[in-house]
Amino acid sequence: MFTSLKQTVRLSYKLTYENLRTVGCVCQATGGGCRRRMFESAVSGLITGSAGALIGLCLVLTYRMAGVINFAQASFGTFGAFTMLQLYDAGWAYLPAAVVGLATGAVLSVLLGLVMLRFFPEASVDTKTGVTIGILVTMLTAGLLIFGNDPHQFPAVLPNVSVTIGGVVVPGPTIAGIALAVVLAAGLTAYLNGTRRGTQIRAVASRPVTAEVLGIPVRGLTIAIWGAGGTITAAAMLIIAPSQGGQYYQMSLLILSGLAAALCGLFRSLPATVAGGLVIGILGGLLTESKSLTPYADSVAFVLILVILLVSQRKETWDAVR
Amino acid sequence: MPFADVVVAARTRLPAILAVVAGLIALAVLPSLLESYALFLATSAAIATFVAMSIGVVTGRAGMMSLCQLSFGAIGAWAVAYLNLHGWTLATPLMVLLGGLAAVPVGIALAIPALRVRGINLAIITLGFAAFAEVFFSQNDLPGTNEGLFFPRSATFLSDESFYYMTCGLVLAAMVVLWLLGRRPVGGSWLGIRHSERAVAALGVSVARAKITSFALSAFLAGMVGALLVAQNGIITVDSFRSTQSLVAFAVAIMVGARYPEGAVLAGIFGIFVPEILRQLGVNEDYGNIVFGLGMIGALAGGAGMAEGWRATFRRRAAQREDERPAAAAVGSIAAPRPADDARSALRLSGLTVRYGSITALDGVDLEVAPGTVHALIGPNGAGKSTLVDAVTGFIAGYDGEILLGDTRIDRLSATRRARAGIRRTFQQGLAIPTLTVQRYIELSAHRRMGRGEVAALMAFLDGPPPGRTLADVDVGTRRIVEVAAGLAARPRILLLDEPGAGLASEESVLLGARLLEIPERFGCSVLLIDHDMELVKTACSAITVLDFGRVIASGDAEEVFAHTAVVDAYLGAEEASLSDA
Repeated sequence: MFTSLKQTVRLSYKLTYENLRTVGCVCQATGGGCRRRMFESAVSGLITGSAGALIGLCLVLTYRMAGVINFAQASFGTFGAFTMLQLYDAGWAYLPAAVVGLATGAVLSVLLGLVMLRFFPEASVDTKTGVTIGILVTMLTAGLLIFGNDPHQFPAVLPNVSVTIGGVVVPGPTIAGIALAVVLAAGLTAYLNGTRRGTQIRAVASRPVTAEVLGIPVRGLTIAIWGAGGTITAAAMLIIAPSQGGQYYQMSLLILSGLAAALCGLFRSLPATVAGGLVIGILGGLLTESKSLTPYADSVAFVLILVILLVSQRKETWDAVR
Repeated sequence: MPFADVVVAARTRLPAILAVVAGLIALAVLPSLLESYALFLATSAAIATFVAMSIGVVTGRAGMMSLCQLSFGAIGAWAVAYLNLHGWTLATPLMVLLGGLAAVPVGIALAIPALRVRGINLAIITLGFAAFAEVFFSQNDLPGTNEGLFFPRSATFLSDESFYYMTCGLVLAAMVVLWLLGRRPVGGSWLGIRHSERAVAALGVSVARAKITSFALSAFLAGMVGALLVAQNGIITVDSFRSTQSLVAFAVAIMVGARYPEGAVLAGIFGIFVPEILRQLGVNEDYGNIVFGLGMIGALAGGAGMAEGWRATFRRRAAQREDERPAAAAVGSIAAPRPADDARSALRLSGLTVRYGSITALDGVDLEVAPGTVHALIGPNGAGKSTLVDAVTGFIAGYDGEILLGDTRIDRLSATRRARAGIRRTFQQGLAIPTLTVQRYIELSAHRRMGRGEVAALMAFLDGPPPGRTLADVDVGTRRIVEVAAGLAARPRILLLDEPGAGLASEESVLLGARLLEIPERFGCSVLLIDHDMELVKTACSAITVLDFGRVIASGDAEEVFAHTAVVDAYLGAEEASLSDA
């Protein structure tokens, strides 16, 4: 008990100390070596951050459209990525294998969407989300049974591309992840606000029954969003798998980064979601500066979740307005 | 209780009693029938029952999604291993209890965000905590694990058989405690917050306390799991407490309906024997988790876990039998009225103003309810009537003006404290807690144990359902009546009724009016009645206040106000206008 306490104290002390040291580095700005190392750490977290951002995007989309927070989102993408790996290892070329992987993520997601439409059309957000917890249990088990939890060697996306910023090499996958997240957030926001189809989607999101009465194809649009969510998550997983060690369980639990990112956008704003995801990644990367804190890099999401929810819900004294 | 009732009660419960006795006998003779491996599995199932019970408390009863139960288990295991390592070896059952206690502070810490964060958001927090705890415990191995230490049980429980009996004994003890708590107000408040926090606060019960106690107890039960696993295996690693395990346990608990003891037992059996059977069949045991994940979805689709479904069927049959029995209760056995005091008014509002942003919902409302009267508050939809009730009962955070209960200002009291001080209310939408029986609900509201006769008398007075009936099996209109009865049972100084007559047939409504008229004398309490049913208002009320757009436009004697033709024409409509002429 007391050892644990001491360790906790030591941990928080270390956290503070390390941070002070890094800040000190910046202030001194001596040879720039220390600053560069910190910058490197931050950049190294960006890849996970971009995955969190992409998962967060999909979470926001399905939450707005179908009124459910899909805890199984990351596991769908992971399953798709591992399907791709199986084919790649069996001798397929990267591109066709990746297409099948993306399609697998999409199919799983669409299936869940159909289950929701068929069996839980009137259910509360809590119930529907409970269903996705059941799906998460199923997907975790199925994935571990089929692929095992050993680290897998995934082929890298854009292996030959890299950019050097301030003397730090930003590898291709990181560029791909960030680019995809930013382009999707900007593109989807523009699409939703600027096109007829986008307006229809927003109509479905805010007033599904009214939208249906107006003759908008609610079912079709909802399913399309589910499919898009599955595809995007699978893409995110393909991008980060090579650097994440390619473990099924750990990748599925990236859902927490996605949830934290989506909460940064309060499950509404896509740009804020992407920004949140990237910030989580950077903070996690900075934690790797300290050896003892490295394992807690993913726990940044938890802390952020706690802070955002406590702040955003602090005035919710009652469970219902009336 | 009359002898006939005892016989009927025994007959309706006979199957349950027989099942419990048979189960106990089976538990007792099991060790002599089983070989050591099977006994090990049976013990494991008993331990798994604790996980299910812990989820049954926090999620099943209190409705808070917790996805980190096995993290509590890890804390319990850690504490016990630490004590063992430092030579603090006590009798095994004591160690198990200490393991449970070690998890309680963390349970309480998680209840604090739960005071504001609800539903899926809470699920996100608890899953995040589970992931964090997993990392923490992988980094900080359980004391002694690295050294390969093995912690033996204390001498009395050294044999597998005695440990089995010990575990079963703890399970039974926990079940009895949970059953007893379920009959106490605290257990009722857990079921209450699942349904509506506002309803619970309106009964004068603290919502925060309900959340903290349920999380604490749940953490205690889950913490015991870790300690029991250390006692069973002598050594244990973090692998038993990963977030997946918490998720699987959650799925199993929802699937079986772990709120009830039979559900928890079933969860224990499924959790251990489904994987075991699969292993025997040469199938990977992890396929069991898929069964649980899909089973949980099935339970959610059906709206109830297995045990919940059985209970509901059983209850409905019992309710049918009960209907055939004549209701025998004299209204006379209702407790004596609240003693009168010499306050000038029961309730007095002066300058009550409520603003939502730029909208003024109530604008300087003055209102006085004289002691011992039934006072009506009427007005068109959106006039601010329910807002007034919310403000008076403490559900609106900021308002201007003063509210006096008797001679005391209550503006600084919380909703719970106001209810305790003697202001009770019902809700327009009817928020009686459906998972409680009439008896328990009334007792929860009254803050005291009540005889079945007293509750039956109260129900006879208001033409409500029998005390043993579960509110879920009662129609919505009748639930409102039970809500009124619950308010009366607390013997408040004033009772605010927000459309109690909605959903009642017209003759029931007439009876309600007659009863409302009797309330001040019989219970020593004043009534502020909101209703659109002018017949009800005319029958029951001696004074009327008319509200429109947040302002009082008329107030005074019933006849005076009804004679005020402008009021009648403008706000009550033509139909009521003709009625008032009659």
